[in-house]
Amino acid sequence: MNIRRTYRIPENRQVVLNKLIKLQWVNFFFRLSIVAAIYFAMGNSQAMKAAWLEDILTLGPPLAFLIAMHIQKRPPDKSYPYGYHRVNVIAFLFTACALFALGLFLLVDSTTSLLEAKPTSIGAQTFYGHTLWAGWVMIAALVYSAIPPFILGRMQEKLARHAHEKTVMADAKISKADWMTAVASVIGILGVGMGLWWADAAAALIIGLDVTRDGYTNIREAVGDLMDRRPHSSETGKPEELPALLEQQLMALDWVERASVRLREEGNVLSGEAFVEPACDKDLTSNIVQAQHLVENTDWRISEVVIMPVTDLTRASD
Amino acid sequence: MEAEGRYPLLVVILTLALLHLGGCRYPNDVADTTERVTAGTLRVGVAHNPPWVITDHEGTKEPAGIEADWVRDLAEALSAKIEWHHQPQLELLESVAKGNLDIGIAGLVKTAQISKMAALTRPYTQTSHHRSDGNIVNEPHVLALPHGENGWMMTVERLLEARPPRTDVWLAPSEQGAQ
Repeated sequence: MNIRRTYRIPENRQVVLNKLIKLQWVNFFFRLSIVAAIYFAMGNSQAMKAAWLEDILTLGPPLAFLIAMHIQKRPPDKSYPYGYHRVNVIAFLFTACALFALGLFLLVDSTTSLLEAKPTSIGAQTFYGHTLWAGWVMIAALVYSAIPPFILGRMQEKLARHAHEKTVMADAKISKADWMTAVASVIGILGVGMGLWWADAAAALIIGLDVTRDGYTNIREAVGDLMDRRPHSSETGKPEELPALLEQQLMALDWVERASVRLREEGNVLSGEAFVEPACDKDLTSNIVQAQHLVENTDWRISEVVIMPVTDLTRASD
Repeated sequence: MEAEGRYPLLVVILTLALLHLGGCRYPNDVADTTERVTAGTLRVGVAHNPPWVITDHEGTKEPAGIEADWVRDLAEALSAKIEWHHQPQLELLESVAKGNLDIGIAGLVKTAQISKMAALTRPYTQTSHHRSDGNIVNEPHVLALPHGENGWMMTVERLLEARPPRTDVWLAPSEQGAQ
């Protein structure tokens, strides 16, 4: 059986990945601390229990990323001759689903409270002899809780963009959803204090719509990767120019008449086939080996491109 | 920031909130209870539950008891006339929740079920009694208010704190739990 060569990650990229792994560990333990804090604070409040389940859901993505990072290091073997890189796409799909579920949860929750039309009551609280509206205490707690996900989310987004790491990019959206819901609750409580009973739910509804949309976009992206869609840029979301670039490079070779390339994403790496119509068959084998070397060194993301000589390219690419 | 373009409603609410903070009472009521009651009429729901609320069955006499006495203090502080409404506890809670009554007193003990039905004040006192199985049960006593009347809630809470209900007049020292 032919087993693929082991893909070697460029060193500067490995540095970024190591940073991402550290960041996701921090993120995981931060979220775990939130889950623990809410568990001890929830008592028998149904609303708190719902918030707790929502927070448990956010533990999944950093774990999925860390597990995927561990598995993808394995070299291709007899059972997995193409290697283990696609495990990243599974982690990405999982994260996208978590994001989508989070959005749906917010939508359902806020819609039910809007339909119930039961105004929120917030009473008084005493702090060192001063009695003040408990809304202020809640706002202070919410602002405080919004700071870590805000900072973590920013760091995730910046690093993930740099590394083309879609799982962490989607998880950054979860961090964003975290702090945005906190901000929405602050606005909601301010509204409740003004006698606008619906402000709380309305703010959550808007955030819910946004998170659901983000989840949907990411699920589409992950499913696209699993279905061997042509590579898309993780920054712009548009198709990559890379296949066209490879075709140009191949056609610049003397022995190549015409070339046509198709690529797919396997997690963080790309692979595919290049069909070439040789101008002459002399030294074909060594020419192909050289061309493969050329193509595979064009971009660090390419793990393998198989070069296939054909007599008539118009038939091969149709 | 991009959020400003994407969440216009949030920005509107925030702006309104800030404008509101300058001028009016904060927190405010959804149904303006505080404004209506002040120098107006205080609609009080009462259910017999001695020594907290003591009424006769016909409802002809003025209610007495710890909470009834305190409501008279509340009315006095707000220069309001009291309108007593006699109702069984469950109906009383429903009327308060709907906002047909401004306050409900029935010697209510805070439970998860009651918390869902109406907005409750913080416990103003706590009693304890021995159950038949030998365990001691603590009973935090609360008053019921309409949902969402947060300004009204603060008015009631502040008076509860400044002039707490006189439990010593009605309860034997042994019945008084930790405050």
